[in-house]
Amino acid sequence: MSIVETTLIFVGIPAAVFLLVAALVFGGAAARTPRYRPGGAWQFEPVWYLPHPEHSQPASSASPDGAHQALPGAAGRALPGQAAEVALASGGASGEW
Amino acid sequence: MQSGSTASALDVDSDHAGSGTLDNYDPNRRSKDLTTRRDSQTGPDRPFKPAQLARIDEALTLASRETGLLFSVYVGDLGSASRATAEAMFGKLAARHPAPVLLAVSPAQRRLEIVTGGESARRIPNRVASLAALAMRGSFSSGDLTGGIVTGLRQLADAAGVA
Repeated sequence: MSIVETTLIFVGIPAAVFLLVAALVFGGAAARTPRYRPGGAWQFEPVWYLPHPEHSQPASSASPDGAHQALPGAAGRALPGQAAEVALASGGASGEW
Repeated sequence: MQSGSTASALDVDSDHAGSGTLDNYDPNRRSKDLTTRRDSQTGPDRPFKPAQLARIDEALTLASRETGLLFSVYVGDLGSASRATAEAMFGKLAARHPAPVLLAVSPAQRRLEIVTGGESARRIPNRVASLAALAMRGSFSSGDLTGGIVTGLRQLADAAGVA
């Protein structure tokens, strides 16, 4: 084989494989959303998540949304408008990192 | 994961934490009403990618469904008095549900607050909440916000037991 052929086969092919793997590793979607690092700035708007509404009704209490239209799921439950005591924040934990 | 279903995200004004659209929360709203909101909840200006949001949604819904408590996750600024802010937000939740649990995470201040009250405080003792906070801190320190939130939700839900 000539020198060019030798170089292409024994250097070029491994280099091509190396570059392909590197592109797959580093070029992925992770580059688009920056990963959170502690101590870095948090530039997003605050978000507040609640559970999916369908199954989050408590088993025992009345529906809290008395002001909205009649709720189909509440027919068999306790009377709406029953005075339920409002929970006060009394416990939990804090942490820092 | 059901297609199109995702947690209801309430955008909160960062100056007045807790003054967001909690009034629009209707526990009996059907899942199809949420499909149009999914597009607005992921993207470059949102803190969680779709897969991460799906994990958080699943953990949140599962925890709430199994325990009967209302778990809620807030990720954003908590101000300098983080505990007071978190308790004020808890108050908004408590007006809508008898036993909420709030997990508030502030990546900017690097603080997390778990707030329980009433029924949820009886079922989740403070030492259990401290253990959950410890686990969450470990995840957050290594940059894994989603994993920390999901871990905290699962620990608290396991401790609270089935409704």
